[in-house]
Amino acid sequence: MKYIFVLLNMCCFLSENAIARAKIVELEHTFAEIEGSSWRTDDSFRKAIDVDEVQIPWIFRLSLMRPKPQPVQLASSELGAHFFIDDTVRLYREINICYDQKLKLEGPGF
Amino acid sequence: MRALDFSLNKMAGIEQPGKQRPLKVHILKVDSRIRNPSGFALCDILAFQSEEGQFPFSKFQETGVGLNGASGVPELVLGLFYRYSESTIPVISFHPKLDLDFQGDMVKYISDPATLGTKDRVKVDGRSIFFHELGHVLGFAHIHIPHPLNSDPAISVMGIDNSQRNEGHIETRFSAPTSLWRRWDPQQTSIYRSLLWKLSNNKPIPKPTEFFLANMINNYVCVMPNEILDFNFRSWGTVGESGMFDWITKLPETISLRNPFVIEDQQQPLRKIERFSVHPEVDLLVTHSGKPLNESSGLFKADRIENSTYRMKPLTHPGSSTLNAEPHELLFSTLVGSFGNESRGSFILKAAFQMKKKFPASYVPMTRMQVSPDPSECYSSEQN
Ligand SMILES: [Zn+2]
Repeated sequence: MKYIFVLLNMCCFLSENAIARAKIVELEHTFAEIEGSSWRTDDSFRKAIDVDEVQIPWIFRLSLMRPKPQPVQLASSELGAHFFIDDTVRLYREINICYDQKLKLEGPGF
Repeated sequence: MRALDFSLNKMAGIEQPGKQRPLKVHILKVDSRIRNPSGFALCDILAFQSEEGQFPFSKFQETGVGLNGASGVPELVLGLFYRYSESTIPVISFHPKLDLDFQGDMVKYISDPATLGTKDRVKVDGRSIFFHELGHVLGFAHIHIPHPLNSDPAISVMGIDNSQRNEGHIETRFSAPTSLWRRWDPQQTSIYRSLLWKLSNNKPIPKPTEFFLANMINNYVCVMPNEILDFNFRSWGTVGESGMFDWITKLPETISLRNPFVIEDQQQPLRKIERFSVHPEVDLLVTHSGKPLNESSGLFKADRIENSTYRMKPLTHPGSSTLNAEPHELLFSTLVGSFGNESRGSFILKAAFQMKKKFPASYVPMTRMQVSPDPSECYSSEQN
């Protein structure tokens, strides 16, 4: 008889340096080893898509015509409690989520 | 409850009588093939699935170096959040290889991880990726220090940062129960919604340091009456040889009060302690250290326990570790419940259960919760 008892390490990773950057890329990455995966933001992937503006399709550079959210800066990274990108919360009053007609969002599950 | 409503409840709080949620969300269908900027004039965010061979997914290799240094390990960027500049529309883009499921009831994060990198199409739960990216739009980062209620940060919506990756996390993301999109970090959402409601109620937004101190010193999460809360138990036992679990699938109709446990909170005399059995070997403990409650209003309503298992079938990648070569099963248990309509005040909540006496107990670490129908009261300097 065997049982597995999993207690995961919860603590003690300090936040990365919050680098002020206009461009924000977050990659949702899966990694197949054994049977595993994780979210991941990896600089090598960032670099791979850090290309000249002309190579970036128009759809990634559409002008925002809507009111901008209100940014609120938090001091959370002082102790590594890093909850928000660059420690900044973006407060929206209204969000219009546009989705391409090919995505099957209509229905009771979404 | 629909995934969008559920997630908005978490991020922005739930509608109250006479008080609407201060964040309105509208879903608009567009045709992303048509290059006409006016067609996107109403968009705060744009979600679409990329075409084969197009930026950005065409730029990523689909094999990489594994944890143990082995190269050629299949990997895939499932999706991304991309904000080119502050004056462009932020984009959520999905990998062209994905079969995205936004509707199914029991959808795993990835249906069959063993085929990742070998199949032409990979079936994933589109909601888990979508709401993760939506979190980024609001500024949510990957969780560095998860709240103890999330028994495993890797299986929360916002996941962990790559720097925190280890084998345990790698296993558990695929091992995750279905509906990963339900698992929001209570502190992250609590902070966001509190600021949102403060803004909406014209209350002052605390200065960064003030807010940080209130958050750290008080160290609680704010929840709303009737908010659906998922308590993810921190350990999950598995049974070997026989391979059988004794499922705890339903709660009894009546809940009996018994003698209280010893409470770890020495600071405050506890006025009310309830320990009720939801199963002969499952104890949920709710303690209340705030104002007395009307008994009939219900302090905390335990609704159901959700169990799921995942059978680990170790793969044999070149150079992969053989430590876990023997198949085994993981058990995930979540207690789902909510505070009653009239519940108010500060609670300490703790839950424990034991499947069978011979297995290790599973528990939810002691958690302080401030229950209020108005999240703008949360993280105020006058509260303690
Ligand atoms: Zn992310």
